[in-house]
Amino acid sequence: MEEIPEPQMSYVGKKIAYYSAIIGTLIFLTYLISNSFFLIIAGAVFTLSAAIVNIIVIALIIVELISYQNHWRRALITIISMLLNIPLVLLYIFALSYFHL
Amino acid sequence: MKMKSNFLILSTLLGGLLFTFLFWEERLALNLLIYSIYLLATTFINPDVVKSFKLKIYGSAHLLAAVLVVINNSDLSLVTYYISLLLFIGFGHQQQIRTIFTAFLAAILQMVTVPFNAIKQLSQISIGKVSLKPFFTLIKYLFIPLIIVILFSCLYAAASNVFAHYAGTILTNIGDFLDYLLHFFFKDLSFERIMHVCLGLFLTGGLLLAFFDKSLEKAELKCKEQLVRIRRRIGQKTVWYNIVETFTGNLLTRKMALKTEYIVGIISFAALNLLLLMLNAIDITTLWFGYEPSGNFSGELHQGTNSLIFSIVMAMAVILYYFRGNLNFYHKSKTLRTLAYFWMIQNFILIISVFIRDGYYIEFHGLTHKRIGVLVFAILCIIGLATVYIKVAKQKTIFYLFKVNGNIWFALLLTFTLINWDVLIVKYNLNHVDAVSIDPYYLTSLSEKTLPILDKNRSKIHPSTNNNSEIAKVYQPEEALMRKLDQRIDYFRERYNQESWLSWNLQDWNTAEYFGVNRKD
Repeated sequence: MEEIPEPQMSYVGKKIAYYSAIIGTLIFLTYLISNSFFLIIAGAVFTLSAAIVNIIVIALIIVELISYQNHWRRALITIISMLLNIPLVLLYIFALSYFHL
Repeated sequence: MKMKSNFLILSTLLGGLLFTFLFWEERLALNLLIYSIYLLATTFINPDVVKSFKLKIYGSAHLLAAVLVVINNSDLSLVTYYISLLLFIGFGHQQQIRTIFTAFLAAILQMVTVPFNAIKQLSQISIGKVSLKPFFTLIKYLFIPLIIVILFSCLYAAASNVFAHYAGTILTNIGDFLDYLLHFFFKDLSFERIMHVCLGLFLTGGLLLAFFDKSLEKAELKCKEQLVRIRRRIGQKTVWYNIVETFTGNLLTRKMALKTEYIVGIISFAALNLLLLMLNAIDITTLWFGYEPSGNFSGELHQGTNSLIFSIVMAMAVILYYFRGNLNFYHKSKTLRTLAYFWMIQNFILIISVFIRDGYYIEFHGLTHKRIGVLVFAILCIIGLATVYIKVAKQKTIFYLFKVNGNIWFALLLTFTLINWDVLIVKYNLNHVDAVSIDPYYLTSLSEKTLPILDKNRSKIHPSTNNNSEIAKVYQPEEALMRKLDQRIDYFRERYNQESWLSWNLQDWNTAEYFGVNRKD
């Protein structure tokens, strides 16, 4: 049986969700180790830009979903994966405000 | 079909009226039994309901619970009554359901969706040759738009004060008009009473009209009681698995092999057995034989009991984790099974320690609800362990555990409702007043059915000085305690005089006989 190819934006979305989480976590951990104020600024800029990129990609996945409705499951998984970055950011902000700032 | 709908709708209407007649400004007692008999009769007459053996069992259990409300009239009997009613309804309308948990959920779902079920039934009824279907089809079309209009009206009212003012005026005028109309036709009827009738209709409808969607029943039917070895195929992954896979990459696919899991299990159970053996050895030498109460013995026992009960529940969770899947079918798992059985036996010994601890506690400080609760919990732990043993030995699923344990819990709940705990506690404590340091503030705070016993034993109730109760802090606490008892007796007389025969129950009647209170009716 031939495997149905994954829609392009779903694939891109998954990668973006993955790298957003990885880079965000790295900035957070580096800040915890170094306590450098620069990393707070870098983290804020990164969070903002990642949010914009993620929103655009989610919008594109939804548009793609209208054309390829039989891929709804993959689209749903990608959207949930991308949205999971929100609680992650909230957790890091909470940890920073509680322990460091 | 039309006959059935007419019957159900008429039963609901009658049930709503019966509800308001039975429960308006009354206590829950004999009226509950009458209402239950009506519900049972209607359900058994309803041709849609299959009169299976299971339904008869749960119907009888509910009837017993209703009788116990009349006999014992305790909070526990009321809880049992509600649970048994929901189970009877759940099993009655969806008979393929096997566990009490699903039946409970099905009954709640049926109650919540009563407007939809009512509309469905109402659209099928006919008066003579006139069918009400077109009218209710119209309601069906209007229902969702109406909800949306209400929602947006609320939003616009929040956004604009002028809109809110006009909306408020319109609603007030409609309300006034309905009120005027009501008082014009029915002068003696209050708005609250009408609402009570509506509540009766809602509840009776929820209990009698079956929920048309059977998804819950179908979902439960997929659950099996016997474990079968399933080879995981590609493409069987869940949404959550895929989400986790996005972040973890190939970490998930690198699964722990069965043999590795077996070795981890062996090491875990061996270590846990050794640990528990030490604890049991300490308990047997210090607690079982030659126990000497220390200074803070009350706190010590309390702390110990809670931890032990938690550890037993955790133990069952660990066993369930290891025997959740394919380890059950591993041909070399005999050692692991033996270790698990030995751990279960050790946990059973731990439960005996809990019983002994609680026994000492009762011996020194008397009976209380909490101490009885510990005994009940320990009994539940024994049952839980026994069923976990069956699960491992006979390769059963967790669904089987839920099914069996649920039924046993319900049977135990009914059994415990047979006992009048408040009276038992007061009688036991007052009979052992010389050996037990009783808490008179606790005893006088128990339900009114204990008042005759307390009144008979006034001389035995002495307040202690080392108590945190409000009465203990006042001047002459003994007099304050007696005053409290007298106030409660007066309150009982007043309450009993205001109630009609619908609130009759054996306990109140006994108390009234003792104090010579007679009803005016």
